[in-house]
Amino acid sequence: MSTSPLLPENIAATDAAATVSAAESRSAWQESPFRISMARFLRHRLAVAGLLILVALAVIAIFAPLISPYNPNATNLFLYQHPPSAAHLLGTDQEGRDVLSRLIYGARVSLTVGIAAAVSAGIVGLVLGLLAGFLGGWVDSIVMRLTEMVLSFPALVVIILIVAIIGPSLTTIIIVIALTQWPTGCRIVRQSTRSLKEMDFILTARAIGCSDFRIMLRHTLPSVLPPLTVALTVLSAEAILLEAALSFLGLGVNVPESSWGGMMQAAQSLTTLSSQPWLWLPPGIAIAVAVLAINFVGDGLRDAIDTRQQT
Amino acid sequence: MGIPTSSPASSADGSLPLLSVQNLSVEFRTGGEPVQAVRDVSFDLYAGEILGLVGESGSGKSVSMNSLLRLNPSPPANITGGSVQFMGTDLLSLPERQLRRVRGRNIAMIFQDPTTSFNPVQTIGSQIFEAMRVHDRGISRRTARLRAIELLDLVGVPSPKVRYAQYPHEFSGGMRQRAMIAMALANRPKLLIADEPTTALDVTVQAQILETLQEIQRETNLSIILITHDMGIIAEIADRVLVMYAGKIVETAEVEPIFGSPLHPYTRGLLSSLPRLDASVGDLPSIPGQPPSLNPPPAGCAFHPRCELSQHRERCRAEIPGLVHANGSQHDVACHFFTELRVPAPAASEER
Repeated sequence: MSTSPLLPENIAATDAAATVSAAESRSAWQESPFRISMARFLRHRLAVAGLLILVALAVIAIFAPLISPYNPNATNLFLYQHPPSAAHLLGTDQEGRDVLSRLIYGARVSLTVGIAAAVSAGIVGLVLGLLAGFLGGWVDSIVMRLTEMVLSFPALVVIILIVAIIGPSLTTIIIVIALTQWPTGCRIVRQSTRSLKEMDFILTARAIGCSDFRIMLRHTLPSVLPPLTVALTVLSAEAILLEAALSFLGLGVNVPESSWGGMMQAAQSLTTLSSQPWLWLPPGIAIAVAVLAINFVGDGLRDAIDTRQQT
Repeated sequence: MGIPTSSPASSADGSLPLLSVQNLSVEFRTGGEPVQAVRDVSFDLYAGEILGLVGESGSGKSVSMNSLLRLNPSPPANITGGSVQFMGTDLLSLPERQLRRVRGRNIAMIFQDPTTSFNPVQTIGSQIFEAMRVHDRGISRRTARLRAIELLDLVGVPSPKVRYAQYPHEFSGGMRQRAMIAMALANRPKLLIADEPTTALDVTVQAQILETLQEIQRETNLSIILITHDMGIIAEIADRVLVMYAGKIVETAEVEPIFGSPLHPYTRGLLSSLPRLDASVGDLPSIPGQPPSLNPPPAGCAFHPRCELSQHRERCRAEIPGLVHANGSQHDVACHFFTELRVPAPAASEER
């Protein structure tokens, strides 16, 4: 009955339309669930740090041509496996290519795979999970058996097999990772949908005449997205690792395009591993930092949307 | 009843009922024997009437009312028989697509717990907007907003312009239920089904909400079905009462005869277990025993194991009593021995 504590009484009292609409927008801004979660996320220091790192990586990836000192694919056989120097800050690789430039361009591949694979897996999981959770019955059974089938194979083996058959490329990697990783998101969406379906406000929505489709779109989807987003951040970290593993095995992006995993291939040779750390340490660190940053963001998001912590 | 109720339209004036439910039966199938939640329920409702539906938890009140709009999830719920004629259309045989056009537009519902009945992540305004939008694609946000603010004002929400943009958690329980009523009224329905609208609220707020409902009913000639287990609420606002027990209607009459001369032992039990202000304080009488299991319901009259009147009479156990006219055509009761109840004047005078 009392007006919101956020509103000064004089605003509630006055009738001037302008003031009221100002108060409306302010109230919506301050009290909206999105805003509340946002504030909670920003209090999470590691998550903010992770986000900053990711933003920096994204900027580097986008402006790679401007930032990188050399053409990442230009070979220079006179500068073969040179250690770091003033001209080549991170040295050169076996073919005389600038490691720093390749590292910078490699960020493009890793981030593309991370984002694209996670988003595609998320979309597949979202659609199937919503249908399974909302419709139940035989649709649910089929989708669930499908997730079990996919989850029961070791992902890497399946991925390697498919990539070997189709032939490696960035697109193939993204599709293959999405195809093997969607069940995680799907199960989360299905689970939230099933519990949402029993909520009173879904019954209210049906009682005002909403169709099932409308209920799914307007009342289920928005509540399912936050937990899915958390799952997807973890998934994108996994996708980056998978891409690195594939490239390491020579099944990643096509040569000569650089990727972090591909650069680590050098570490397959024992001499490189022991005496030329500038070849594998930088991409290794880059992968670790990127994955760690994503996981921090994921943790922050999880804490921000966790309703059990809400006051 | 001391309250001057608005014209309690009755069959006497020859008009057709707004809603006519005949032999409605609903069962739940959850493996094993199906549970008969609603058995053979029939009643008529006229325009402008407030019908109270009373009974204890599990007596089938909500299930039967949700069945009118086929809102019970199926499976497990199954409407096994009967018809629901609303303004000349049988809602039970209507295809889902057309039934959706009735839901929220001609028949609106409000539910028990206003805390959970709103989507927590959408503003109250956008949810009222949605209720209008579902039935009128062409309505502009501007028009809908003005109408929603008007509605919030009508149901007594202060500073509706500000409230429109707020989220459910910024509303108190009573305000939320008012907003719920506003949403239900958004499409000017003919019938409002209120499922225990005040149970989750405290008593003062409860009185205000009931008053609001009554005012709106008077202004718009709305028909209301009020589900409750509180005889006090019935006494306050209903014109006519249906008493349900174990999925069946056991007594129906206008409010005065129900309170003045209840004929079913169960109704009497309900009334005598009301706390009264004008009688000495002693132990409050209660109906002995527990509400019956519906799987299977007691043979014969479902109330016989708890009935004072039955006293192990064979007929109560063997034969299901039908609803018969008792005092003229307005007072029906389903009891083999109700005539024996007439003799001792009931304890309840009329209002508590």
